[in-house]
Formats: sequence, C-alpha cells, structure tokens
Amino acid sequence: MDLSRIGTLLQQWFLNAKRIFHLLIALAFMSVVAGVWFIQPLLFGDFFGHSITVLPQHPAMADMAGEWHGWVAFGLHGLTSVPFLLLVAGFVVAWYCWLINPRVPEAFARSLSWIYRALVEKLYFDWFNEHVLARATRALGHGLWQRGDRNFIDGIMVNGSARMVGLAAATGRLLQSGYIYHYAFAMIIGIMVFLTFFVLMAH
Amino acid sequence: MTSEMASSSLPWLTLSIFVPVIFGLLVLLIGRDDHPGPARVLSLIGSIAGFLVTLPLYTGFNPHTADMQFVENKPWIDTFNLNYHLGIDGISVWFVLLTSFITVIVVLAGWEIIKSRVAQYMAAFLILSGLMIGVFCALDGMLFYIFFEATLIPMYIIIGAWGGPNRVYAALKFFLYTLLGSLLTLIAYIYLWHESNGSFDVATWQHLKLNYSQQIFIFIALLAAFAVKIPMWPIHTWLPDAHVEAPTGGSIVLAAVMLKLGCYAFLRFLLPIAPDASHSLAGLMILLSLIAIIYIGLVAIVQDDMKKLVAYSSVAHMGYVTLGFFLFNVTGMEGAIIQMLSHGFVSGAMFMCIGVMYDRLHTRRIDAYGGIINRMPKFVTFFVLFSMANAGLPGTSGFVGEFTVILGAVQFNFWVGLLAATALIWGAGYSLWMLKRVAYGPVANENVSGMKDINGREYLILGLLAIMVLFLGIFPSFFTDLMHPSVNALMQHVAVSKL
Repeated sequence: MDLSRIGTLLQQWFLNAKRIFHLLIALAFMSVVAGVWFIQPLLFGDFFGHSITVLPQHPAMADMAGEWHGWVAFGLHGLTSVPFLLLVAGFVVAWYCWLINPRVPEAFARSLSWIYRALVEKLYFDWFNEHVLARATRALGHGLWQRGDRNFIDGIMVNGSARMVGLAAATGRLLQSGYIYHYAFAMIIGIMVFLTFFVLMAH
Repeated sequence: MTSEMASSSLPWLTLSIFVPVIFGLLVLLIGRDDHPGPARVLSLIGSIAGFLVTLPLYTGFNPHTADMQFVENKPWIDTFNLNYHLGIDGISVWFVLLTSFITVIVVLAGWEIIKSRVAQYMAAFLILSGLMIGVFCALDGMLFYIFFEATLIPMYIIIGAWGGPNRVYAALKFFLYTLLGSLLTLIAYIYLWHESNGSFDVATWQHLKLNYSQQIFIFIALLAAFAVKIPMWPIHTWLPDAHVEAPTGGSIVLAAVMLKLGCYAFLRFLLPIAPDASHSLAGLMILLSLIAIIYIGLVAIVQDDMKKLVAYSSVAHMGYVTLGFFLFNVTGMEGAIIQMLSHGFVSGAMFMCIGVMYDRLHTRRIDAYGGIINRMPKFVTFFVLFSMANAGLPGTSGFVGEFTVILGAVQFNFWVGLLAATALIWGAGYSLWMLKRVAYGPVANENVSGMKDINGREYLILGLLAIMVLFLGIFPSFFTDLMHPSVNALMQHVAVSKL
C-alpha cells in the first residue's frame, strides 16, 4: 500500500460530520485536562528551567503570581472577564443573526454596503497584491529579461561582439585583392614607414 | 593556509578520478547501438563503484585539521615542474562526494530516456565525473587547469549531441563563453609560475608575495574564468540556453556540479592568492552578487519555460554563494559552501522533476501543464518538497545556506543583509507560482489527463535527492563540522595582507 492510498483512506475517515464532532469534543476535553495539569508548573513553576528568563523590569508574571489562587478560582474568574463576555456576546449575535433572524445581517449589508463590500473583499488587500504588487513585479521582471538580458547583454554585448569580429574580418578581406603588385606595393610602403621611423629615432 | 600532508594506504583520490573514467572508456568499448543494455548496466556499475571509492574520503577524513589529506604527489613533467599533486580538505571533500553521488543519479536518469548512442552518452557522464573530481582534488595549478578545461569537452558533446532543437547554438555558446574566460586564467597561471620561480604548486602560489597591482591583475584574470563558470551577472546568459537545450542528465550535472567548479576555484585560488585585491574589490563583488539575487530573481519569475526558470534561479542562488565569499566572515563563508552543496541537490532535483514531466508531454512550457496532482500525486509530493527547498523553506537544505549567508551579510552590513533577504520573496515567487500553475487546479488538457505517475526508477532518484535535501536541512552540522577547520584557516589566510 503506497503513501497516496493511505492518505486517501485517512481523508475519507476524517471527512465525516459525526466523527469530526466527536474529535472536537475529545480535543476540548483534552485541552481542559492539559490546562488543569500544566498551568501551575508552566506559569509559576520550574517547567522551563533556565530556558526562559523574565527580567525584573517586566513584572507581569510576578504580579499575576500574586493573584494566583489555584486553577478553579482562575477558571471561575475567567468567566467574569471582559474577553469571555465578548466571546459570549459574539456567540449570541451570531446565533441570532444566522439562525433566528437572517434579515438583520441582510439589512446591515444593504444599509452599510460599502463597509460590507470592503469586508467581503478583505479590505482589498488581495486585489492590491494581485493587481499592483504582483503585476508590477512581473512587468519589472519582463523588462529586465527583454531589455537587460536579451537586448543588451545578448544582443549588444555578446552577438554585437561577434558582429564586430565579422565586420573586421570582412574589412580585412578587402585588403586581400589577390594581385601580387598590391602586396608588393604594401611591402614597399611598410619598408618606407619602418625606415622613416628608425631614421627619425636615430636622430 | 597549511597544506601538510596526511598519507593514506591506498591512492583514494586517484581511484576517485580514474574509476569513473576507466569505466567510461570500457562502456565506449563494449557499447553497441543495437544492444544498449550492457552499456547501461556497466555504466551503473561504474557510477556506483565511483561513488563507493569516494566514501573512504569521508570515513578516513580527520575533521580536526585544516591540512590537506589523502595527498598524492608525483612528478609529472619535470621540465616545467608539473606535478600530479592531489589532496582534499574539509571543503573539497564534500564536492568530491557530491560529484560521485550525482553521477549515479544521472546514469539512472538517462536509463530509459536515452535511446540513441547510449554508450557514448553514459561514457561522457562517467568521464566528466572523473574530470570534475580531478578539479576538486588538484593541488597543482596546471593540473587544475587541465581538469577544469577538460570538463568542457564531454559537456559540449552532451549538449551538442543529445540536446534539444537549438543544441548546436547552445553548445557553442557554452563552450566559447567558458573557454574565453579561461584563456586569461592560463595567462595568470603562467605569470604565477614565473613569479614563484617555476612552481605550479597551489600552496606556494597562496603564500606568494604579490604587490597590489599584481594582485589586481591576478584577480581580474582568474575572475574572468571563474565568474563565467558560476555564472555571475552579467556573464550568465549562456546558462539558460545551455540548460534549455541540454538533456535532463546534462542539466542535472551542469547545475549540481559544474557551476560549483567556478565557486570552488574562488576558494582555492582567487581569495588566497590575491587577498588584498579581494578585499578592495569586495564591494564590487557584493554589488554583482546582489544584482544576481534580485535582478535574476525577477527575471526568473516571468519565465514560461520551466527549465529556463530553474536555470535563472540557479544564477540567483549562485549570487548567494559569491555574496557569502566576499563578506569575509566565517558565517558568510560557511553559508556559501552550504548553499553550494544545497544547490547541488535542489537544482539537480528540480531539473529531474522537469525531465520527468518532459518525458511525458515533450514540452517544458508551463502553460502546457496544470492540475498534474490529479494524475501524478506521488510526483507532485516530491515536486512540492523541491520547490519549497528552492524557495528556501526551513527544514530543507535551501534554508540553511540562504539563512546563514543572510546572517553573515547582516554581520557585514545590515542593508546588504536586507537586500539579500529579498531573495526569499523572489524565490517563493518563481518556485511556488510555477508549482501552482503546473501542479494544482483542474486537469488542464487531455495530454495532462494521460500522464502517468512516476515509476520505480524515478521514485528512487527523487527519493534519494529528497533524503539529501532534508538531511542537509535538518542536520547541517554533519557537513559544517568537517569544514570548520578549513574555513577558519582560509579566513585567517585572507585576513593577512601580502603587501
């Protein structure tokens, strides 16, 4: 049995609503157990040893230790805290708007359509990334490739050098007429140039 | 640097060089076009034997010294004081092992795919392997030059004979580019031979007193050859052409090992022989490296040919290597060497992946693919891993090299580090965008629909490369522990002025 077959079987096993619900319950239960078990040694005990050092000028943990009266009191106090109340409020609003009276969010979406639209579009961050950043990057890359690599480096530097050699060779070939008197004449001129040079140098 | 010698019972370096070469010649002798089976089997035996004879270099290596080890030194041509002088240190040992390992991979990669002139194809790779190992072992300047230049011949034949439609142009461009730079190097070597009273010994050259202008001349002459081979921007345009036209095995060797020859030569010749010139030209080299990282990264993003994309990404990754060299701190240097090793595995794997797809659809165009995960889930698992490694994902070898060079760059100058770190963005851009377009989404067309997942041979090749990518990513100290003394010795050497 290969890995992809095992993956498919696992996927099928997990994609079952009742099983997912049971798994979530199990995870919730285990998280409570882990919290009860580890909160004391993790926050106020010696669990991390010397791995984490809290400097004296950051007394948050020390202040919290002063208020610590065990995990039961800690849990009960959590039920009266603002974050927990906000969580409950959010749960109630979601339950009412989506299960009891869906016309409420629809009315909000109509009356505050621009806010609704901006939120649906995730404040247009994806649009900005795709249409501005990614497009500009692609345009820059394309420009560097075509103008830099193809036109300048390959076109002018590499192929241009080859063309220059070809041009120089073609020009040089014009001097080779095949007539002996042309070559003889060139030799006489050369001798005259050398003679003139050495005579002038001698004086 | 010290180059004191540790002796060993068997000439392991000679065996490492000549076992693949001799097997290559045997394959040429017995190979027949109408019956390629024996040539394939003998090539595989040769490549595995070549790999096995390099293993004692690791097991017998003393990790506590920067001295050259497994040294062999025999007179070769007395008139010119040429010696058959070989040895390895904690840096070169890894590249010898990388070369012999990659040779096994390329022999397997060409097993079914190459159907014409199989014996010549396999022999070219085996002989090339021996020559490349020779480059990493040579401690005589002229011996190094001969091995370095000789590698051109088999690769020229591999691209020219088994390449794509535009192979002759690509092979010629590759050959001329690299040969042209090398001619200046030859002049520099002759000059060094003259200045050192007729010695081609690399250690003698490294300790040779040279004034500033001499060092600048040597630096430029050596740079001409080594920078082409790496390749550095702006002399990099031969590489995408060569990769596009080369067969899969050719691309793997080119990316995994041949580019490292130039990088390695920086460490063995350029930096230690001309330390003052290296320091004063470091700004220019860092600038060229950053251009390679950013400019080439951007160019890679817009490629529509997968091989060209990976070829350009290789140039960008090599920019990291040269950047690490010229930061002149141990972190940057070790990061650069790790990046060289990592690139050997990752780029080899990426070209293998492209070869796997090319063998099925006979095109490298990204838009010809789409949704191959629906047909090739095993292959895409590997392709995702290697693409992530190419983008520098933590846990893979790509991350270790890039991250270490960035650390070294930040130690050197914060802004250099910041610009170097942008490579992670470009890397993610070109690697993951290609992966998304090729692998994900619905099946793009009928051709993709007919694609078959990888077979056992391809599974083996990609699996071996995946193991190395993850091993280097998770246990980099396995590699760095061996190279520490050599890197420290090199850094101490280049820190001392010759003026």
